[in-house]
Amino acid sequence: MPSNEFFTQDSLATRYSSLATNMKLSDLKKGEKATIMRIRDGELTKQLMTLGLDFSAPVEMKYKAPFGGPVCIKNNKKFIVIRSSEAQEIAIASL
Amino acid sequence: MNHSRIALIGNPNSGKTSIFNQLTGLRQRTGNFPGITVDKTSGTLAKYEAIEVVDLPGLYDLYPDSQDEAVVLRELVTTTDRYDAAVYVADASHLDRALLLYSQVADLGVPMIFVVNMMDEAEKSGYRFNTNRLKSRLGVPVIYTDARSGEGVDRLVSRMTEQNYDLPNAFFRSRYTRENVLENGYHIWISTCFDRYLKDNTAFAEHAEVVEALGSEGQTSILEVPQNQSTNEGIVLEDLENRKRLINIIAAEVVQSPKETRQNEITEKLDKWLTHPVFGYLIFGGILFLIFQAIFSWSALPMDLMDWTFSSLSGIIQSTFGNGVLGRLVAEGIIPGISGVLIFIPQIALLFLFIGLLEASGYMSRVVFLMDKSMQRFGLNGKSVVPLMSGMACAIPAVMACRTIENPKERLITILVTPFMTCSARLPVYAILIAVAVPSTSVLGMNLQGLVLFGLYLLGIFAALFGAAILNRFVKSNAKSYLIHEMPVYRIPKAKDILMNIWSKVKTFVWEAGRIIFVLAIALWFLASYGPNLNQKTAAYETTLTEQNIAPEILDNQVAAFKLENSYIGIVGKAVEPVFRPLGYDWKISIALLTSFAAREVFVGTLATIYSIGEDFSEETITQKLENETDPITGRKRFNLATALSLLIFYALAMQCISTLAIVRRETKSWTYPILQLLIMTALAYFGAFGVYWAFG
Repeated sequence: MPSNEFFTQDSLATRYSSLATNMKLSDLKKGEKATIMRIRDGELTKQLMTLGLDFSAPVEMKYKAPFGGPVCIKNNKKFIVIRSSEAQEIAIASL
Repeated sequence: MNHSRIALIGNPNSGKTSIFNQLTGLRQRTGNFPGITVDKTSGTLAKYEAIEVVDLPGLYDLYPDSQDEAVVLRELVTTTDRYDAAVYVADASHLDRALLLYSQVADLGVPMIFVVNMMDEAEKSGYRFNTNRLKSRLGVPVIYTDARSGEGVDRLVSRMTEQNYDLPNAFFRSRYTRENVLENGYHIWISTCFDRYLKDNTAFAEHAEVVEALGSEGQTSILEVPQNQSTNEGIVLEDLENRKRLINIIAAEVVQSPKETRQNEITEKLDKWLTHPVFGYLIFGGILFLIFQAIFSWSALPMDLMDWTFSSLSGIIQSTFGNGVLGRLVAEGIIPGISGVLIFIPQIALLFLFIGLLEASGYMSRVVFLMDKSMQRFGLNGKSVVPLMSGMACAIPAVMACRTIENPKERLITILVTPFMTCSARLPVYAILIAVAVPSTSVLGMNLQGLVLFGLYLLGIFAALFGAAILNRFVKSNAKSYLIHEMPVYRIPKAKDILMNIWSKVKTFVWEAGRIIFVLAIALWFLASYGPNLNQKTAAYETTLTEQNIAPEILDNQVAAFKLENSYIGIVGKAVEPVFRPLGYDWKISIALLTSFAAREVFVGTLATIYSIGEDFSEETITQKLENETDPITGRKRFNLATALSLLIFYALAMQCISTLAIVRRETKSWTYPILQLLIMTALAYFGAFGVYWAFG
């Protein structure tokens, strides 16, 4: 397992099963919701966590800028903007 | 009352700065933290000057991965110039997030007061707080405020004036020894705040001792960029997870949160349009257009007023002091010097008014969202939009605004290309040249002169983007670039905060640019008023003219022109004329070009003198005079279309502002970049002007 891959779900079963997830946050369409399972980048994880993201709560894709621009997600009553390249590093399980 | 130094700490968008403004009012000033380009705003409490308040940068946590975090950590840990206590400002609607940074500051053993701000918003949304629980969990006083209405700030002030602060309850007790701390720096700082066994929350005096024990070595190693990324990251994430676990327990006990808030609902309604893939951009374009319209029309009156005031002043000084050196120094050197700086204040103030409104309302983060992808293509960051827009007023505060860009490469590129944006100082030059050489005809229903001006603005923008794209190839960077930020809910900005912001930016401009322009204006006056045997030559010339019975004012103007020609700067101007002839300039224009290398706006005044227009010039008189100038040899108009366009291109692209170079040096902490900027931009201007002259001539 790569060293700084971050698993958002605690139970071992969920962790290992989440490895099978192929869906990325960037695949989410506007209005769709999902749960964040895994984040590939440690720095990205830290920034999302300190911004107040609550991994136990669902994430909603709110807005997507055109031509592969940034995306805006809603979680825990906050609106967070990240680049689509960063959204590609986030594995999700859709709801 | 004893002197005390209090830090203001909190998340971005928590209303911290508004609280700071209310605590300190006009008794504040902005500077730098030593050795780093991070803003430090400090001030003293109204009526209690012994209490100094420092507004530290807004942060989400204290893990030192960015400059801001490292600086705040250093500030809190240092043993010299200690903070006596901190006022922690939390956004009531996001208490769970606010508690993270709070927990780290608490674990450093900093005495605190906990301020729950933006209460109006939170209460209307349905947030309810269990004050007693909160107080007992944190171990410090809790004060509710609403910075917008000012509610609660007086209670904060009175608590601060008691000068008796409580040590907060620790979140995590430390496992450390003095030796560990000094040896291992960063790792140990993290583990000092980490305890697997969540037990008591007893007060934590030992921690203060450890921090002191860090000494200068230990403190430095905290600030070093971690060598082993993954190990440090792992430690940080583990600590972060543990903190959040504890914080979530506390937050659940202390706050009752609604499912959704009214602010969010309103924000989402607005964002449907403002972030729309089509309308979002149209609206942004429309807003930009309105801003520039407003700036042009509203600044005209104050600028004319100032112009008139200063020339009258100049006249009065002249009649009082006569033609002595002092009189002329003041009237021709000092007063134009000062007015040359002050005249830009209306435009700069207006632009920062609009930018301040866009930022405080929350709209600017939407602009970053819309523009990031396009900016990335040029090696810039979405956040580069703010400095680039600010550069249309003045490059000096704009370059300083680049501090918000974390990635060093993106920040450097933005700093280097911002001066290409058309700043206020170029406008007088553009105005005169366009009036003289471009006919006022209609093209496709629009005024040709207006189109040319607009074209020049576009040129500035393209030059900036193109320059950035090229620099993108050459500047190397290892640091990953992220764009992760919160889009805050929309808020109505507070007038006082906006005004304070404008005042601070204008102050920066007047001080940073102003003092350099002022000194240069005096130096220029000297170089233009003195020369080898100047007085004798002038006297001789004057005699010759008098014999020809020329009218007195015409005589005075011609004498003035003669004086300028034969002054030091005139001699240099004539000497460099061959360099500029390919661009279509004669020696008179060369002189004006040289003088404006210090500051662009000097161009117009110099032209007025050289073409014997005398001091009493207005835009009309200059325009007429320049239109009539002809080349004695070819008989062609001196300011024909080709020459004028060539001059316009030159001024659009050349680096003619010593103040900007000074700021770039300060922000990049090296002489290389400003020197490169000067050489490359001027070379670009030269060849650009040459090309245009050749094409149209």
